[in-house]
Amino acid sequence: MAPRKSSCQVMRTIFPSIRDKPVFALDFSITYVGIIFLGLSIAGTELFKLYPENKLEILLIRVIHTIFMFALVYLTQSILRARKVSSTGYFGLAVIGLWLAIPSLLVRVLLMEEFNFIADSQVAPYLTEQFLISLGLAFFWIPVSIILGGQRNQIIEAFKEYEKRLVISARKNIRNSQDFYELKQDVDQTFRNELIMHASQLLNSLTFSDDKKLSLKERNETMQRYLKGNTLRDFSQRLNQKSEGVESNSKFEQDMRSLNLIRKQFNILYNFTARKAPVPAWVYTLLTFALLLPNYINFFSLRQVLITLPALLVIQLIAIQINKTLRHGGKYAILQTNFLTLLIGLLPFIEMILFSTFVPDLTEKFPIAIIGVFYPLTFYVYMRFIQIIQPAAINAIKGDEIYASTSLKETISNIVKGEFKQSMSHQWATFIHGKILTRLAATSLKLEQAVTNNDNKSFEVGLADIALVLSEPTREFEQKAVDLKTEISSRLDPWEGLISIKIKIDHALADISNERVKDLGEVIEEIISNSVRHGGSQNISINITSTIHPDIHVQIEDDAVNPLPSVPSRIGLGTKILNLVSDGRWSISHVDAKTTVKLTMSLLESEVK
Amino acid sequence: MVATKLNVMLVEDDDFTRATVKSALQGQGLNIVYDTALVKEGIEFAKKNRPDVAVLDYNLGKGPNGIDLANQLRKMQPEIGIVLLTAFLNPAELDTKIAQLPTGSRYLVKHSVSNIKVLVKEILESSKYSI
Repeated sequence: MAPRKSSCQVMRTIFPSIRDKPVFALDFSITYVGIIFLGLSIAGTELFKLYPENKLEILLIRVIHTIFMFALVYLTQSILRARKVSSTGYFGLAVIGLWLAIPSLLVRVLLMEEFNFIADSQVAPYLTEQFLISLGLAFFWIPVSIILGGQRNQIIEAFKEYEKRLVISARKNIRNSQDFYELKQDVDQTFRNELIMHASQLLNSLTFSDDKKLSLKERNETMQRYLKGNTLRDFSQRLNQKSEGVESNSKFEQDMRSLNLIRKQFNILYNFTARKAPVPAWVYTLLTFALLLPNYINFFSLRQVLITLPALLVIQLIAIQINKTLRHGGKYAILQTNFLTLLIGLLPFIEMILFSTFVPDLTEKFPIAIIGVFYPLTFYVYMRFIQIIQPAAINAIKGDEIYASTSLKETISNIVKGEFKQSMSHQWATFIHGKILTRLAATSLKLEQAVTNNDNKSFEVGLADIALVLSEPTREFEQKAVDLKTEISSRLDPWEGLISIKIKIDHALADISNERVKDLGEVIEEIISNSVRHGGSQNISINITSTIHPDIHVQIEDDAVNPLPSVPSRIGLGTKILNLVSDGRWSISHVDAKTTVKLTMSLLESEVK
Repeated sequence: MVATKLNVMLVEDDDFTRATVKSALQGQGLNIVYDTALVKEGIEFAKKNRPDVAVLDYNLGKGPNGIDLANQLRKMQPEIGIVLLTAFLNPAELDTKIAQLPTGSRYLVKHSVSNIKVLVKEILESSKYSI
């Protein structure tokens, strides 16, 4: 039997044909949002057109009705859950639609009567009139909201996956760009220059203030004053503080970042999907009809409805033109079709103006703010949203067919540059601490000892040592490329005696030697130190294997008793180094008592110069 | 000069600094029984010889830092005195992720180290942890 395709691989259409007898998950989350929107829309019409004098009562009716609908949807959900009904087809959705829409109508009529908006004698005709609107609600809006709700996770997941892929590809491009190479040179040079400046300053102060005619004790006091008060320590501390900057990474912040990226990417996404798989023309017509239906029922006579109906034909024709223009492509296709979509949204307004000029008796007037601004914009936004949730869009996202927008690239470029600067700050702070400040402190001891022993020669040797450290302060920061095996050994060997580490490196990779080998070493060191210091690991195994060129795959497994969470709650230097080196391709998983960090990085690419 | 029978072990990855600190401490009458740049050697020595005090640099280059080593030494030898040399004030104040030093250990900021007596005093104080 052929294996069934998973829904993750190829996304089916959001609204499949009834002939396919599709089954939909029953998810009411979007129905709640729909109830609020529907309430606002009805309130708008009632407040500005029907009952402008009774704003307070109208608002009260809306609030009561919304609370009732929320309770009804919640009750429906509970009943379905208790009966273990979690999915249904189009027929089931229609039944649920009626189950929700009919009580909604009855309560609405009851409230209108109670607040004296309709007399007892008007109840029957009002019910009949509103019944048609309720059918639209039952058979269209409610099923649509449940279907979208059921596919919400799939849509959100596809967007998150899309964001991840975009970020990875943008990170990779930025890291390999000339711009980034120049930034690296620039940052490195800036740190070097500042270190040289502070070191020269200190050396000059020591040299010019040293008076050989004074006693050793007096000379030492002068030297110690400068050594204790030197600006190198502040510089190192400043660099260290820069590198320790952390950002919070709560679920809310992750979602907000995601939304922000999607917002930046929306136009590219829309442009791509609109050209590749434009929404069928009938969707424009159906959406218009669905949006206008309540007004037809509430305010229009049959004659008025009949003379406005040809507008739907015009909409269909414009929509066909939109579809053709998009399929044909061209430089201005998107601009033209945006204009045409807005034109469709403006048609009711244009129609109202024309009718009030030529057939004023048959014209139903609406506030310009609603019909001339709010409605066209709503229609435009709905159509854009419908366009990007097309299965073609989701599949294109999954197939990496969509490129990053300039704005998104800029955002990611700033993140990558920030990570690099923090990483460099950390490296320089560690270097200054370990190779300069430590030596100065040691030499201070030497000077003190010379004074105690009244040893002139030792004192001079101490001063010469200081001069040596300060005259070429950056000498030992040079970073020569070494082969992978040597780099990994230099990172793992020092842990010997503290923990047990097993390492396996693909033979083909052992002799690789390039600028990125050191990055890999940094990452491994970061993961091990985290695993030991925060997780309390005693046994770690590392496996480095080749994968699709130019990538390699690193898997680090430990027995941490206090393992790191799969998604860090804050983004510190460690997370930034992992992101920078792997272009964001890393994950943490927990199985039984083992924690596994998986990371993919482009090791075999040559750097831009 | 102090008269003490304390056995002091020194772990510092920088050769120049290690030699200088060692010479200064010896000049003050301390018995530096072992000095090394490597964590592994420090652990092996401590296992066999149980020094009274370990003077450790916080920054030991690649791999574990002075706090990682201090924790291991304390695990192996609960009474050992520990002095950690650092260029900063308490490193944990700069990075909350840094593990805390074992109880009774002492930080010594490097610019105070220039006063050799301060260092010796800290070493002697740290050794009281074992008493």
